[in-house]
Amino acid sequence: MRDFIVFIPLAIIYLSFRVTITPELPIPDISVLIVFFLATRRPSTEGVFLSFILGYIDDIFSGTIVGSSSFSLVIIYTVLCFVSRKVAFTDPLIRGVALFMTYMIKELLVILVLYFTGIHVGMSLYMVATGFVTALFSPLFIALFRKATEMGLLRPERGEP
Amino acid sequence: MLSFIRRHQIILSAFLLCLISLHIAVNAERGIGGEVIVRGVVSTISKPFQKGFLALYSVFDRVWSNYVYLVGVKEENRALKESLHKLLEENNRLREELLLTARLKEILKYRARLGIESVAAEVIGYSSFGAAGWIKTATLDKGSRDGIKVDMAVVSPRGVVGRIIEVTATTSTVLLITDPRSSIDAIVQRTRIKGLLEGTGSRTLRLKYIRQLDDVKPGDVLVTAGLSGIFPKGLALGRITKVEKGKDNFFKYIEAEPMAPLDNLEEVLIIKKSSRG
Repeated sequence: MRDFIVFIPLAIIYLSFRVTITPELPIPDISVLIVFFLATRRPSTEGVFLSFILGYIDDIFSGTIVGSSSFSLVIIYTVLCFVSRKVAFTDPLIRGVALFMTYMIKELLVILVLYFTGIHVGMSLYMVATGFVTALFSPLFIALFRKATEMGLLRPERGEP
Repeated sequence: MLSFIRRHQIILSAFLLCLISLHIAVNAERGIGGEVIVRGVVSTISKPFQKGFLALYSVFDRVWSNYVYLVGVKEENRALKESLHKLLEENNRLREELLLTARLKEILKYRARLGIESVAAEVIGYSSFGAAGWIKTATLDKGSRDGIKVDMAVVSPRGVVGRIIEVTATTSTVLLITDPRSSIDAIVQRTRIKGLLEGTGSRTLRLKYIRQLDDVKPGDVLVTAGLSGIFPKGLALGRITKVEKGKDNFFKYIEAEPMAPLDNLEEVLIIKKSSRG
């Protein structure tokens, strides 16, 4: 529940900033960063629901077909839950590469859903740039999320009480 | 059974939510996901933040434009520079007010010329990212409380901006004419030939269904045909920039640019009732 209380308002404020000030600039994708953090920290059913809601909010702000990002974020969360059992994303470089790939997969899944709803769009340089920026700024965001966990604002990490 | 569900609860809930997402996406036109309500809530929450960010941005922009140029001045000129800074700031503020007055005068003049019931609105946000950045919408600060409804036309003194696609109590969303989902009946002003003007997802428009024999050339102005009942007849849409022989040998390939400055709109008019055309 704590994760919902922190991450949903954070996503709304961040996306408000994005649509108002930087609609054309590639800035880190907050939804992907949150989903990545949740899935690699402590997989749970709550995380799946939070990914769905974050995707829904993302769709509302971006003006795209509602359901496309929620679909992709739920899949990404589930896959990351299983991958994180085998791979430790502790190294910033590995985490950056993983985040870049996660963002690209999210956009590909969105494009796929859009294709089935009759809207045909392709990959763009903007997508690659956003993925790169998301990966580049990931240490800062992950550190902030960890700090929030330490302060008791978020659910504790896997293995902790 | 219960232990199976408990053991695989992440996969099962993910599977269920994926199905729900796909169902909402496929039935988006029918608004099955309750997005109108959620949009209303999210928009009400985000509007003060958006206004705040805009105010912060304008302060930052003013400081950046005026102050940065003064950094590094010699000590003996400091006092002089400070007064210059103040004067520049005041001058900038006055100039901004002058520009705003001019824009509002232009809007009012245009509104009177249109002779149609309309409401002036301020653009408070743009959406042009999404997958591959093809979405072209803008958020206005007027909503259903101001009598705004879906499918109302949005115009600027330079030309057509788009049409309203979503309305909350306090805000509304405009589908810009450059969005690929936009298509408007258009007439070539010089020769009165009709076609369909569609957005491309970039800064250009495409005029379709113009036959090879039809007289259309670069520089021709496109105006609304007034057939859909959304846009009044005769409003400026765009200017033709490229005319080529189409690949299918039936129709020409025509590109146009919008008349309205869609990238830096500040104030627009929402036409409440189309009595023309």
